[in-house]
Amino acid sequence: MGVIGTLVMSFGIVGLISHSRQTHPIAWGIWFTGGALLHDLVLAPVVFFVGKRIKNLLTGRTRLAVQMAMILTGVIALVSIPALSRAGLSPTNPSILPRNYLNGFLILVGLTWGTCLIAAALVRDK
Amino acid sequence: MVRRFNQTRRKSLTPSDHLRVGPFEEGSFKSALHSARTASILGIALGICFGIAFVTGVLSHLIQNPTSWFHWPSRPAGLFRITQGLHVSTGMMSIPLLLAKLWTVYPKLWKWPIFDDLTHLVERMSLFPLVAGSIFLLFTGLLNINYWYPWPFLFVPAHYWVAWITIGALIVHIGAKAATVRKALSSDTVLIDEVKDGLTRRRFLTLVGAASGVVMLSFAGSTVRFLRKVSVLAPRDPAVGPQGFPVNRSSAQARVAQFALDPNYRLEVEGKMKQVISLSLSNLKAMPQYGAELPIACVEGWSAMVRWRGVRLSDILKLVDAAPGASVRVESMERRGDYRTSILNSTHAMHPDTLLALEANGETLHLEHGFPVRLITPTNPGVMQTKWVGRLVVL
Repeated sequence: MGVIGTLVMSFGIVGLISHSRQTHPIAWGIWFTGGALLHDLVLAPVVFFVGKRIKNLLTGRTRLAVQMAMILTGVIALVSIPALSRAGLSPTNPSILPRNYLNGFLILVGLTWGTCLIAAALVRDK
Repeated sequence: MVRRFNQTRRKSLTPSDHLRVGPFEEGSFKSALHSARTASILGIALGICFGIAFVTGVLSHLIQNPTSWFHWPSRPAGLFRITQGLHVSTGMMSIPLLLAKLWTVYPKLWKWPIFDDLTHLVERMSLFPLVAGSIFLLFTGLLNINYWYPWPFLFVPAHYWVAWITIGALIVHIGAKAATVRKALSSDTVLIDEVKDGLTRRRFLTLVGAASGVVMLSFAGSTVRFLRKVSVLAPRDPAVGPQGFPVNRSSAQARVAQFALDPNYRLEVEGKMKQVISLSLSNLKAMPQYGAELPIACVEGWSAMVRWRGVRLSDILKLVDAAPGASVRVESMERRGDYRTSILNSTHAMHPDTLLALEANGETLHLEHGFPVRLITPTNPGVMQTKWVGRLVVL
């Protein structure tokens, strides 16, 4: 597995470098490394910090509800950023991003909190 | 095997303990959810999603970059909307899975000592392409379906080559972790430190699964029509656009209006054949007209069913006595653009539903959809359904 995987990985690296006019390896390297660093040194510490606060401040069912709702809200917020930023809008092509994404986002988050509160109220712990 | 980061240290490689601060400190991460079992289950789910996304992604690459050994079938007509819908859906589902997986194993990033021996160092370093590659693929993919390109490289080649790097790293990772996973999932393994109430492992995993489902459903309406009202985050609505379906490249972006609206428009047919011809729009309208209901399915994961009407490409090939088995290059009137031409193999060129469409959904084709003439063919991705066709070259 190690050998096969390394060969497959090498194929990708060679392809990336040999198509440097399209892939801009240096800029690519910054984005490639930057994503991992952003996760490990910014996003994850924030999540752990918030998680710890919730654990310290709340107990029982309230804690469970907030933990679940916060996890879902975080994920939904993350995947909504591109649409909410409206960066992809095109003045000549109104069929791109045709919805009101802030409404959609708020509806999803509202439903999430409602569902998590109900779910936490219904669970049975020993 | 619940907490590897609590293992005893090797004296020879241990740097002085006063460097062990911040997240390196023992007991920095207390949750018992950081277990091998949680990581294994999430890893398997993620592996399945990445596998499907990789296969469907390579497929899309092969369709757009034909090679001699690969033949893309011309039916069923909706094949590409299914494979590409799977590609985008599994990618979207991977976002919560990857975040949960990285959260679960995050304490290992701050393991002390940083490495035990050379093998362990190599193993740790091999995780970099896997983690960075996974984040890169999901991040660039998410931005691409939202038409946001804040980077200087081209999305398609960068996404494609990183997919090979990531899958390679994943194969290495599976090889290195297979035994750990087997042990973690075995019913003989006694789980110490299990959470008994609140956010238990089962509830956590159910929640992550639900998050995957929510993310997938909130985007899938771009291609699954009955979900279009549910998918509040979908960057496309299959019913929104001129003549009731979306547009990817506008006539303004292609700078094609002056050629497309020219009353002296002619379709030139040339290449390997006995007779070179050029057809006016009224010549094309005078030919037998055929209807076909075919999806327009884009690589960004949206698709819409459209009723097309126009001239069969095969009729034009017969008109010019093209050799049987010839392939055809279809060229747009736009001067620049990575996708201004597309090549059809003979199966697609001769398919009775492959049309030079003059109408969409019962109206004269809209300029934004490729007026006066656009190509529409079963099973090919939207980028190969050339708009504003000006020339056919028989190869």
